[in-house]
Amino acid sequence: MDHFRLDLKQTLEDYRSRKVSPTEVVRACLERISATDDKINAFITVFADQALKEARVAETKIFSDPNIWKDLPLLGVPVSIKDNFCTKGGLTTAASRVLDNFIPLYDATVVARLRRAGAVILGKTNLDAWAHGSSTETSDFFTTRNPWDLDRLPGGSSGGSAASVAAQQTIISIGSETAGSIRQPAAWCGVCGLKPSYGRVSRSGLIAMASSLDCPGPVTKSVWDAATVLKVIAGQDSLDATTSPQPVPDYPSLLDSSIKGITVALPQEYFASWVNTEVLSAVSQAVEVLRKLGVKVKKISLFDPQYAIAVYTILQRSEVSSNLARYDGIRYGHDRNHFGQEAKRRIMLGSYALSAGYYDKYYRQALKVRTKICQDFNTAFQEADLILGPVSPSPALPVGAAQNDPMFGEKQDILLEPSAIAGLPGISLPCGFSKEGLPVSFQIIGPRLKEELVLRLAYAYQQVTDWHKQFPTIKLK
Amino acid sequence: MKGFSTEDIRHLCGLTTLKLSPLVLKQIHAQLSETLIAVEKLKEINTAQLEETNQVTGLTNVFRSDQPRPSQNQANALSNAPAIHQGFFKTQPLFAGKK
Repeated sequence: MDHFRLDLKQTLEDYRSRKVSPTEVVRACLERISATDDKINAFITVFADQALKEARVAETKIFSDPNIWKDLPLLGVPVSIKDNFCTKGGLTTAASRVLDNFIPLYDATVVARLRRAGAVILGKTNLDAWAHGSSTETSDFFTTRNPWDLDRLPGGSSGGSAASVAAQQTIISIGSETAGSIRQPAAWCGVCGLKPSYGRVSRSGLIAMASSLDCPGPVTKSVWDAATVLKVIAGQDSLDATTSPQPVPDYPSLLDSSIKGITVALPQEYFASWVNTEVLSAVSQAVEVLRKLGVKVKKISLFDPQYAIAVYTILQRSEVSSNLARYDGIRYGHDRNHFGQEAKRRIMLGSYALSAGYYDKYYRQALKVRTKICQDFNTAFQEADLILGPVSPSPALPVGAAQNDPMFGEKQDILLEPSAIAGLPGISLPCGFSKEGLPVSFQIIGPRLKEELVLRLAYAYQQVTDWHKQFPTIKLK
Repeated sequence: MKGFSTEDIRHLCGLTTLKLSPLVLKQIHAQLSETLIAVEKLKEINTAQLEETNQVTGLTNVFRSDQPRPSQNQANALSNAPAIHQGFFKTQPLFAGKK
């Protein structure tokens, strides 16, 4: 059966009406993985037996208690998880040879919250090793392919998560973003990727990359789905002191609020000449759709995103060198000889930027320019409620494009790095296709902790468009 | 090579306890120099009046109550270790050969 084609909203409706059961949907997803993943390579590990067992338990609960949904809002829903989130008792590798035998003793908070909401974990998805990259090509294991064109990259670092949603191997997925790693692969794979505000979702149990930037978030088939997953995973956590104490809004119930009169700003620096013309055209058409819905549009100027590349490169490398210093192969995993070249390079540059004599010149200077970027967004949000622009300068690039370019990720994520550095929420959603049939997406950026506003505008767009309902045809054997 | 000398790279290998083959060392040398040139752009910004932003949450001094809670037992804590000895992690000697 084609139950794997359901989005989250339809899955829950069908469970409630007992049209389909969790066992049927989980089995359909597992069969879809078996049929397609030798081509897509989205998964590092699949927990098939455990997922079916959990699905049967969910099924029993649904039959025994019609009011179960209040406590278990994702009961029986299959989810794929990026392999840098710890899953208790389940292999967690960060796509690195250093951790290819690591079995965590506890769940990441995000994973624990999903389980507590009744979700069924299908398996763990591929990423650039340690989430260092924007292609999934620097995974130490294999390259994930873009379901729309198997000769192209899915983006990254949450490329496995985005590809698993686009290939309809799962109903929902969880990714993580430091600066682009949710929104960019979601854009290249034509699905919805939500990067929440820094601190909205706990990082506990997420293998640390750049701790002042890391942010877990959903990758889904629709905005409604993203809002529903965010409601489950967001909120303060005693295991992560950077989580916000502000209450978590009931995002799905706020989606229908009117967007008339909302002001959206278009930064001219994001509609630059170096952005692909097909991308610019599709994003401009999305703006017109929103204008017809009553959204006010104005042009603004933001700090040149080229500077964000430099800030991000220094901050990310520095924090990586600190976070990856702990991997010595004594308590778990393998020794430091198992790091791939990408990780070694990042560790070394970070150590350099933090070392005596260079700290002021690079690291401290980057922290100060970060302040300028934050101030720039604060000013912009005095003029407009939200900011809109392209996600990526181009649609998905061919396999091999990331190799031998030490700045590949930074270049692909240039339009995502400024908002990530400022800790702002952003969503990526599809708005068309290139002539070659590749998805093109736009992003909406909001003020800190205003996910609700970002989601409302994105939801309104999806109510009058159907780009998000289109999925690739994957040729099976 | 602009940016880093070979000696710089060797020094960084020592600092980060990373071993590089001669070929990888050469490749990384070139790539690090390329990255360093890209971040030189930071110098263009006048930051004299700017404070540093270490994190963006606005939270300061976050405390929680100091209450005991369950932890991992010794067997669990050792379960991923490649080498153990009498209930402890086994490590390489730090001062091997230095008597």
